[in-house]
Amino acid sequence: MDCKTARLLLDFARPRELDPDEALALESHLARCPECEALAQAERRLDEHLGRAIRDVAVPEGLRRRLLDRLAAERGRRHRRGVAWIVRLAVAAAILAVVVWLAFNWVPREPPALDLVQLRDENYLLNMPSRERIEEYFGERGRVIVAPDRFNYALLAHYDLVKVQGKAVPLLVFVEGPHRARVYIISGKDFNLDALFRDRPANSGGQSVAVWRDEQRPDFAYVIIYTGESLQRFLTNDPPQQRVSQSAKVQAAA
Amino acid sequence: MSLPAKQRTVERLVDDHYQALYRYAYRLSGSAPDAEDLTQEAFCKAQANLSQLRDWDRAKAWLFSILRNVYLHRARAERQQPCVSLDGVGELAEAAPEPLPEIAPERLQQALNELPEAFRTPVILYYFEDFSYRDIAEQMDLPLGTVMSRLARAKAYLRNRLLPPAPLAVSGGPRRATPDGL
Repeated sequence: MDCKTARLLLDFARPRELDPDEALALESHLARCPECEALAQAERRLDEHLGRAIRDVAVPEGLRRRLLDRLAAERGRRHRRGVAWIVRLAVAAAILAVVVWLAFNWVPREPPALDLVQLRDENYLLNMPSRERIEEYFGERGRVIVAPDRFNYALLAHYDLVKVQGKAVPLLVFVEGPHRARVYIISGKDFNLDALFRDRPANSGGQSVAVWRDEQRPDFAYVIIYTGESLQRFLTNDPPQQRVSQSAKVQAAA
Repeated sequence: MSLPAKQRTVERLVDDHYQALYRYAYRLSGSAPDAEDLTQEAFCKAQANLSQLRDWDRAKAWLFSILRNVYLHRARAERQQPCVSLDGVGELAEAAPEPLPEIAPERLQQALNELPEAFRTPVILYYFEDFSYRDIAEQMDLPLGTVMSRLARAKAYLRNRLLPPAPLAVSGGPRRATPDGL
């Protein structure tokens, strides 16, 4: 190593940060060159001197305590800020819930448009009634039923799902002159069908009660409340289909 | 980390490093009140981001880095005082006189304040000895060569500013500043 390289290294690098080969070469040069060695010593002295001066800063009394106090205060502040955020979020969620509730329950909304197509189709069903169409109608509304096939569907005046003791029950209303028969299609999932036959009520107020059961579909029963002396006027003259039979006689009417 | 454990960790950080951090802050800012503010804010930021400290051996460098960022943020906000240009300062300085005269603290701080931050920080970190060139380069996000060059120029400036030139006891061609530097 020559003097120029050695002096550049002395200026730019601390010996401990030179790579081992460079450090060795520099050391061996300094051992041989008194001028460079003197410069190296001067550089070290200068570094020590400046370093001492730069590090010579008096640390204020009580700084540690003040730092720890400030940090503790900061922790408390952050904790309170966290709690405040949770409270704010809870309040915001509550307000949002109230607003949503009001939007759906209180604020007047524009009423929906009447679906004339649906209305027309439902009336079409009444004008051209049949057992299959009635079953289809209730099936589309999630109620799979078997409609009684002995009735004369030309007399069907109304049909709907009605609430019966808390359950939605399909109802068919047949009208003939001043008389009417209301047929409730009862599912075994909603009511105990066996009990229907045990506890049939007596006639009252000009109304009679009959209970029919479909033997092929024992999970359904028909409760018929009708006026007039007989159910016969509501029934078709066509021969009854095989699958329905009168399991309970229409005693009440007679 | 649970609150008491975090508190213990922060207290240990304070105990281990608050003096060095304060000294660094003082040399950066040049005033005791600013240095204390900077130190407090740096520790608050460290406490808030304690999860970032993965290697305890790097805690000092991490804290110094936080403090410098706080300082730079403030300096930008306050549009700090103008600094001297180091364009005329060579990277290789004159030899120092023997014996070295005492350096008055006010003059030292004034000379440091005159240095642009980009030169002041490496020279302060350099004299806090524990920081290698590589540490300084990492802290300042600079290439190693840039750090070495800035350091040499800052040292030369301090030498020229604080120490009278030496009688030509030790001199030689290679020792003089070269126009093209290194």
